[in-house]
Amino acid sequence: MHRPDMDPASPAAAVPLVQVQSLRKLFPVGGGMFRRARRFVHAVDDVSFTLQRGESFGLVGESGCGKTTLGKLLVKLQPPTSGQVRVAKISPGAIPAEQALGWWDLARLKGKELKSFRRQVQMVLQDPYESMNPRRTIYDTVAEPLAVQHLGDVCERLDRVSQMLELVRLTPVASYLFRYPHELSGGQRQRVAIARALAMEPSFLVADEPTSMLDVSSRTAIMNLMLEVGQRLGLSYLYITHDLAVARYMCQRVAVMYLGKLVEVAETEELLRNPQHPYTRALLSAVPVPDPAHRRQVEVLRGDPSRPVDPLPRCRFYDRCPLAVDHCRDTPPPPLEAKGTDGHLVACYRV
Amino acid sequence: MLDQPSHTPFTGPLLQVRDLTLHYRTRQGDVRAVDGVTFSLGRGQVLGLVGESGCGKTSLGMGLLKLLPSNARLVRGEIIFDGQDLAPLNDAQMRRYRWRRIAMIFQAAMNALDPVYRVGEQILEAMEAHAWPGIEDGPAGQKRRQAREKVKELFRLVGLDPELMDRYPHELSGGMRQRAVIAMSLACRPDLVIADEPTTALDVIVQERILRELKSIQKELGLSLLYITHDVAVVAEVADQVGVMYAGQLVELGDTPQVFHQPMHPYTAGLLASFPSIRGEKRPLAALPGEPPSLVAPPSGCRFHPRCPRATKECRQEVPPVVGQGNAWAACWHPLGAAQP
Ligand SMILES: Nc1ncnc2c1ncn2[C@@H]1O[C@H](COP(=O)(O)OP(=O)(O)OP(=O)(O)O)[C@@H](O)[C@H]1O
Ligand SMILES: Nc1ncnc2c1ncn2[C@@H]1O[C@H](COP(=O)(O)OP(=O)(O)OP(=O)(O)O)[C@@H](O)[C@H]1O
Ligand code: SF4
Ligand code: SF4
Ligand SMILES: [Mg+2]
Ligand SMILES: [Mg+2]
Repeated sequence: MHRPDMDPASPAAAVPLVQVQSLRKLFPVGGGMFRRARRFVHAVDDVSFTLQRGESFGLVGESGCGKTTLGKLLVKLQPPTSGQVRVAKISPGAIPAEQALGWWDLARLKGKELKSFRRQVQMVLQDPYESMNPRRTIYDTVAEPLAVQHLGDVCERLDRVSQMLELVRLTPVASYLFRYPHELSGGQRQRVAIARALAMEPSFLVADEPTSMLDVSSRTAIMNLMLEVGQRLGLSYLYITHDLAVARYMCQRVAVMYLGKLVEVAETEELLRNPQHPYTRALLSAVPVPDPAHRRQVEVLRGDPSRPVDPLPRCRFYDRCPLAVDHCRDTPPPPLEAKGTDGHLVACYRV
Repeated sequence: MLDQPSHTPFTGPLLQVRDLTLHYRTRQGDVRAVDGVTFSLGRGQVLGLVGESGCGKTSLGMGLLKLLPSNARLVRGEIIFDGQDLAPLNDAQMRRYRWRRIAMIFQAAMNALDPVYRVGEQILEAMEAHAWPGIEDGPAGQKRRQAREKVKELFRLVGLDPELMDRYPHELSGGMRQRAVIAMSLACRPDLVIADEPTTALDVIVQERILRELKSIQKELGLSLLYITHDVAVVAEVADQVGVMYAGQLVELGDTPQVFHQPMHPYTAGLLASFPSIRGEKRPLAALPGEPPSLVAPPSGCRFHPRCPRATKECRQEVPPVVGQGNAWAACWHPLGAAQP
């Protein structure tokens, strides 16, 4: 159902869909077969946030800061070390305003409940190759989740798959249906992954760099499709991207992550106009411009990216921060708290 | 042959590609992924290659190294690298060029790395297979230690903690893997690097740093770079020349400032105009009208005609002429900057 009164900038009503509480994921490193690992990568470190129904929430940050790991925790592709994730149960095909049927606690999901969770919650992986079986055709790849969930008969599925491929601009559809993943270009594989996820009509989609290999024109078409499907189904996105221009068009709010922690959260336009955290400022200053005469004025960051392995109990950005003072070094990491109005959150002692 | 210095008496451009044509066989017919592509790339130069998803950029890059799947066929053309045509060479002969003289940064970084070996080990193995290029002669163990130091240096250069050499690919993030592959491509000191979307998985700060490092290595060692990307902002920054591909064909080529400021081909102009910005007013997104062309049965005449605002009858019927000259040209009946028909 299409709701013309729904402005993409503000979800009709704030109904929570995903609640993340103190989520943490540590990976052991450096252990061998006979040695117990004593050092840990703090990939996701005490992250909390709530995502509203129909909201698209952007996640940006340094390469290796933990975005993919966070995404995988939210769809139960990996178990957390500690913390909680809850996702609202939405009946399949519900209209955006419809009530949820209760909550799933990811730690306790199994059996039938896990299966209906897998139907409602999808993830588009960063490397589209990872999610595709090289021996299955594009048709099988897109139809597989439908078949597993016993949705529609074969004819209906063929229709549905063709329609989806058309929407992601893999045309003429007939020339793609029975190809194998390795017979597609990088961007075409990404589009198959998106078609596969959207075909399920999920209520929550984690999209990990879903359009990173697409030219502007193909990307625009895909973003419009995702926005349109999002509005029609009240679908929520966790949208991981390195492209802030993409976040600008896709996301109502954006979270900035640095070494396992969220350091800033704000409405997208607010974040772009008024970045507060020193890392966010550096990031925005480094966005390239399509003009050969232009040189990027990157705000200098000292040193190398800090290590996520057993980090010291201080602000994660301390080693590189142009604003750092002794207090930042001697106190535990700053909490993410409201600065100013309109839910602009920042984790920094100096703003 | 292998341990000879890489400069030879040949003084022409490092790479000359003439009329390269590459097809894939499928049940629906031949996919004409690369069709009559001609260009040259000088020593120490960077050529940026841009174009729509699926237009044939990767196929062109892989075609140059002849790393092709079994259903691909090199239909015709010449790939003259440092004076030698690679097109007729067999696989054993090609192996002497791969990595050592021409390295490739693959679009899917994961496919370039073997999941069961530590990433540093894979790079060392590649160096060993090519008789340790750039490493002083000596006992095997010493060469290996030296090479390890070298790889550490390369890791630092791409912003990776050298400690990550001892991790397995799945223990790295997407962007970390991509950077490991960039380090790998430089390890054997090649003359030409074909970089296929090398920075798509990187944030803009790391990306800026890597592009800066690449440029300085490239100046220092006289490395040539074929830089494939969809990101026109990155091309503006790194490339000396830009080639624009559409539906398997090169449709415009020229010096970077010229192509950006005075594009001749309507597709190039559309590509540059639709770039979304994070600054200023938020404008509606612009997409090219119409659908991507079929490469099995491409449109007649100019392949861009179904989507071109300037298309006329001759565009639909006749292959467009090449206008401009030498290293700055476009294939179009009604190029921009010329009088409207
Ligand atoms: N299985 C694993 N074992 C050990 N370390 C891991 C594992 N998976 C991820 N890591 C580490 O966790 C950190 C976060 O990785 P993640 O893939 O979540 O980053 P990311 O933000 O998605 O980065 P990118 O933008 O480069 O994809 C990195 O330091 C990575 O090396
Ligand atoms: N092995 C194959 N068999 C059949 N068709 C193929 C094969 N590999 C690629 N193709 C087709 O050839 C065309 C060119 O593919 P290529 O990978 O070169 O595109 P690209 O320009 O690199 O695109 P992208 O930017 O999406 O990576 C595409 O339409 C693709 O579907
Ligand atoms: S808390 Fe201190 S070190 Fe951390 S970002 Fe703020 S100023 Fe920089
Ligand atoms: S030849 Fe005609 S259709 Fe093709 S780009 Fe030029 S004006 Fe457009
Ligand atoms: Mg990632
Ligand atoms: Mg490609």
